[in-house]
Amino acid sequence: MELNDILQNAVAGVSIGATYGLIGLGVVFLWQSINRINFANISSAMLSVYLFFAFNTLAGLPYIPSFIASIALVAVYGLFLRYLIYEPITRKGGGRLEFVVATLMLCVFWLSVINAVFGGLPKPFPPVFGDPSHLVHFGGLSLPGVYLWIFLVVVILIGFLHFLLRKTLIGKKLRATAQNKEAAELMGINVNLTTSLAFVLATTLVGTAGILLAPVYFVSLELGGGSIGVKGFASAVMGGLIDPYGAILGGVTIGIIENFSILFISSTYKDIIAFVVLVTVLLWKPRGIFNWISKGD
Amino acid sequence: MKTKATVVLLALLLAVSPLFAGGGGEKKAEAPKVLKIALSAPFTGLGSILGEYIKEGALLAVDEINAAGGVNGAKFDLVVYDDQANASTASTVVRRALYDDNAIAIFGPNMSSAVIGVHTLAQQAKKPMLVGATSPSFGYDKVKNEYLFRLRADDGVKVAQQAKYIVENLKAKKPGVIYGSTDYCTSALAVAKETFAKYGIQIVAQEQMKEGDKDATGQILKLKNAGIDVLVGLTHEPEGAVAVKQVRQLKLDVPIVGFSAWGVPAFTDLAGEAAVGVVSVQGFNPADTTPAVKKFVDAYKAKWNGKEPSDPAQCYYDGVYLLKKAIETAGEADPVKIAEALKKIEYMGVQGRMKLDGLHNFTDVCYISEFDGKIWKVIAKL
Amino acid sequence: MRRNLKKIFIATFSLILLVLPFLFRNDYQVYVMNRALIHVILASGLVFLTGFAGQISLGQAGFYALGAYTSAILTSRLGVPIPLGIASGVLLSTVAGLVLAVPSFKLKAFFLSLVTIAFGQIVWLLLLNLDSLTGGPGGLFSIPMMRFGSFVFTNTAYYYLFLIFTVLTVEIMRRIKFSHIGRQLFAVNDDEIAAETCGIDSRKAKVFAFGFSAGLAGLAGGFYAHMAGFLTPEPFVFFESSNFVAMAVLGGLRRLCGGVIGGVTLTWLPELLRLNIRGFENYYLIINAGIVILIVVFLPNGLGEKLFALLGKLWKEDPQHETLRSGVDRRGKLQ
Repeated sequence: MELNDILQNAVAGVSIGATYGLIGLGVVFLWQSINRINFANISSAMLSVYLFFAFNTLAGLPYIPSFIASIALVAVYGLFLRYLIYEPITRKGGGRLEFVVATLMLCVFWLSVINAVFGGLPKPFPPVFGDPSHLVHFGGLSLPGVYLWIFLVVVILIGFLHFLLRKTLIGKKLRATAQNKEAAELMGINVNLTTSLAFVLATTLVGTAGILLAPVYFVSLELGGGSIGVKGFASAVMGGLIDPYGAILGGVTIGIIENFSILFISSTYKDIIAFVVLVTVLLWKPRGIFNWISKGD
Repeated sequence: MKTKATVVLLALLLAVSPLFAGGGGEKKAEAPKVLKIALSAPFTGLGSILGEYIKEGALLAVDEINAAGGVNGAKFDLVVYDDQANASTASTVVRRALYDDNAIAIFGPNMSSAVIGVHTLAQQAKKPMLVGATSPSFGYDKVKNEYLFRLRADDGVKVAQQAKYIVENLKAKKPGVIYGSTDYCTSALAVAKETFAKYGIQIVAQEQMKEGDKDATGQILKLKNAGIDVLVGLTHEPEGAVAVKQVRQLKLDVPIVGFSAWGVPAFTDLAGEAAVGVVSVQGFNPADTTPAVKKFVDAYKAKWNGKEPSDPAQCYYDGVYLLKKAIETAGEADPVKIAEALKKIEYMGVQGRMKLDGLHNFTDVCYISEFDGKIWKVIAKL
Repeated sequence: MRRNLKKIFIATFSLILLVLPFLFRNDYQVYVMNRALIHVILASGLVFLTGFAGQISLGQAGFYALGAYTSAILTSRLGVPIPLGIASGVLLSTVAGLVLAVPSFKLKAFFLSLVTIAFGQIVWLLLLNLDSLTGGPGGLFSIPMMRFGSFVFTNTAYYYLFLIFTVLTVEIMRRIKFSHIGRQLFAVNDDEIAAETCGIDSRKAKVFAFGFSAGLAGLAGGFYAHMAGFLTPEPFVFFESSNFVAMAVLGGLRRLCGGVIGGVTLTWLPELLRLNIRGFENYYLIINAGIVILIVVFLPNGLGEKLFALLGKLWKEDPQHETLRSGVDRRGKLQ
């Protein structure tokens, strides 16, 4: 095993881990703004990708309009999530658990809908980010070009989320509402607005992530029902559910662990190892292994 | 008060009535206008979602037959169920088809592990079950089920051809395998090991991908470091596409020979350029220029909006016609007699002669083809 | 008069239960009912864990698998008698449940759910990969059917067996609920810190809850293995775990019959939705999920709650809220 192989493996691990982290961003954001976990988080990614596919490949619209249309619809979906799922449950006295079950079922629901409408076979994503086999070379290592886009967007999104949540007033309002709704209202925060904003931003975030990931994950049901959903949660949790960088670092950690388990232990057991690591982190450092970044919450 | 009691009782009866709804009854298939046949195929679930192709192939045959007057005047009524590509669900839907719908014959399941789980049901119900599933573990030699029939070559045959090509044509001596985690993949691996052993060759390295994995860098690096001289691909389509792309990226310069899941558009569409030069075993190749194949492909495209038929579509198409011939030979739509007839008849299907062999397989046809970027060019047809 | 109504209702209901296999028209329907009863046992365990003790588990399929595969392997490979096989399965899954209780001491809600998800996934992955033991994706076959002397159990026989155990399960839960331990569980559920200050050992309560629900899942697994005759890893994926939770929530977490209602409904619903309409083979899943979402959203307390509210109106009885504070329950058999 040469050094080059090890580095290449590391690069691959970081890349795939960044994809997990991207999904984790949505999880962190929703937690930070309404203190809820949406188990259908990943469905927003699948929906945006299939919508884009429908607009672009099936209806023939060019990339930018397709992108805007898909993201717009996914943003509106966020509102539906709030008013059709979250509100009725909270009004009738349901709590976290009911929301979990409803969103779990929602995830299944979307998978079935997409399956019925588009069929179960994965399709290739249009070459929005350039030719899918285009490789970028540096040193002796290679990386599919699309990952550069992914890294770029990750950096932008981290910056945006950090800025939004920590430095703007609206971010403070969002976090305040998550911490204590009544107190926030007493402080004059328009809780209604911040809640809607939270839902819309969460779905839009994950929806955008989805389109970015589609070249890697294909236009397929896996994007909405595969292991990436759980890995998104795992990434967020490893990062402590506090800061967006935590989610990305968490995702990258998982990616590296997976890839090096394959390389040095066994490709068969890599998933088990990853889950065991997750459990260990949860038990040993439930506030995340990267929470030293946060300023305490 | 009496009304209240009645209301309660009625409510109770209403509550349990759905149990008696749907299907059932003792419909004799003797001289009716309708012959009920069932199809169990995967439309949802993990692994290969080939349900659409299977249904379309079968329906094409059913509609053609019904349009031409049916079977001795009676028309086929095809009932389709989703078995989710898993044995547990198949267990429920096959029971429904056999006992609730009283189908005279059942097509599918298509997933080998599902067939292993449910074929005894067909035996108990004494109704023929015709499957496209390819694992050799439920061959007649192993399970002796008089009511189980296979519509295409089993993996024993296909993997043998694949290995033969690798050893004799490519002259490879150190094969490396990348395989998936479903039964289709693992049983193919087992057969491959056996077959290579017969040539005195050992698999030098084997690495697994789980369904849904999108990175195989670690696996490919390990295979590369093991010094393999040919890569055998025993995964499903999306994982195959990921693997093949990364093989090109990581400059693993060896010939690639894939198993049947790699010989379909679902794989080549996703793999794109990386699939050029890949050789694969196929059960069916729509680019085959034989007239019978072309006729089937054209009919399929005409009916299903220009869609090209993929592997299992053809064998279920032939299967329905086989059933028709068996019913005609038997003289009546009695499942036991149909099963007897199936053992004896001979039929010219899309790929040629179909006749039951000792393993209860109707055919042994398989192709070795190479992908040139657009179609699979047949190198050998066996 | 109303008392009589209630008695008639209960008597009719019990009668129907007793002759159900003969009311069904074919074996398929009995088979589905058997699967429903197995799910009832499992879901009741979840109602116990989540409803009574307030702990979430999205990994019950792991215990289900442990029970099923243990019994299957012991009976088919080692010739162990079936009751012993099933008991071993229950034992193993109970122990696993006790172990899984440990994370619940420190972790809450979402974090705990991730541990349970990880557990379920690890079990499933082991099923897939330890193929010399479990048969891997190809499955484990030739699991012996239960027999009584020379009589091999048919689906009808299984129905009665499962019915007995379902009734037992609900009865045991009822007794626990109104017992010392039950009160402790509810107290811990309501407010853990307050409970601790009253001298309740919340850890013990949680361990008990996890162990009990895991054991029930293991029992369900053992039953499933012997009824089906074969095992493959598919019924034990995460999707099934989430289905089980849906059964518990749908049925009603605060009701003893929650598991019953949820298990029966969510097992039969997909079957009834398999309408043979051309082109709609996959739509049943959409409708299934849609209905569950609607019920959870509009009746977050579960169907059980609604059902008893309606029945209560019919009997003009006050539908008692399922808290211990309302005193001893006066209803009949299944409550």
